[in-house]
Amino acid sequence: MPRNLVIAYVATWAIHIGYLLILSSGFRKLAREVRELRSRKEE
Amino acid sequence: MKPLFILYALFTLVLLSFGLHQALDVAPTEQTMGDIQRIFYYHVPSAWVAFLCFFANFLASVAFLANLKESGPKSARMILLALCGAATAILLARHIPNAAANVVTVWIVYLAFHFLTKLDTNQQDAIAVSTAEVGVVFCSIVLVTGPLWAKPVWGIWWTWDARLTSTFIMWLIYVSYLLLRRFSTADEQTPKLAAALAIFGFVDVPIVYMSIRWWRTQHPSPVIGGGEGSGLDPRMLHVLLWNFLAFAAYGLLVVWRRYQLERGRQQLNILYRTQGAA
Repeated sequence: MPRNLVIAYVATWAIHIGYLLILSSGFRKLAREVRELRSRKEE
Repeated sequence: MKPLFILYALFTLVLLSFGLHQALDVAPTEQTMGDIQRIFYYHVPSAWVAFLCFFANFLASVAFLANLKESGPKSARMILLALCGAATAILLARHIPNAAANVVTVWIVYLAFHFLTKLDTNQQDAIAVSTAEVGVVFCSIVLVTGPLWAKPVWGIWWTWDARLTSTFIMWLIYVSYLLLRRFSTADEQTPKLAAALAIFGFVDVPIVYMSIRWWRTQHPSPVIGGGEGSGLDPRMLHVLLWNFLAFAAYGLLVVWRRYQLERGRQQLNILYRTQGAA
């Protein structure tokens, strides 16, 4: 299998997985902010 | 996560695995280029999904700006209805091949826009940013996989021909759109500015699509919808369409998640504002 073909397929999935990680970190940050806001409200 | 989302994610995973198997094992080897041509099965569907995302971003941006005025959505729907009617008449009158499929596409676009105008501005804005971001991801893949194919086939990584340059400009336009949204300090104005940029930025999308038809470029001529003399081995077309279906399903999945994130952020901002006001 040509080297560039392997690199192209791996790069495609590296970009997609990288974006999924960015998305999941966005959800984590959102959940943290919601928790902080709730705790501030309770205070 | 809802069971429907998990089910859809699993379905997408199966489609992507099947597409990969088709691209690497089932598609015939191209006579001139050999196995390197298999990059095509990831490169072309990624480009098509990027186009679809940018088109959805354009429709959502138009719907967003139309919603800012009371009579806007109705006027926008009437204008699009007239345009779709004219397009249908032209398509049927010219007896072009696949006219029926094109007519159906035109009316799907109208229904999609009709649906978008019924949403509130926050939802429209969330769709716009989600589709732009996912479109940039797919466009980045196009810009990475293209040179990886070009080096062994053309002997160069890159050339400033019409297709490559217009694609690079399209990527820059949508990256600037995302940067505007990320770094603008004009809070309430940002979605309006971004929507205006999206509408003008979209002008480049049909230029990218048509560039290999309008100009003689280093980039290969279109193999689908390219007119006489163009075409693709049916076995290759079959693999290409499977991969397009798989990447379109994956694109929809990611847009869905990104939309949920944006809606969450919008609701949090409202909470911050109400708490600040209290």
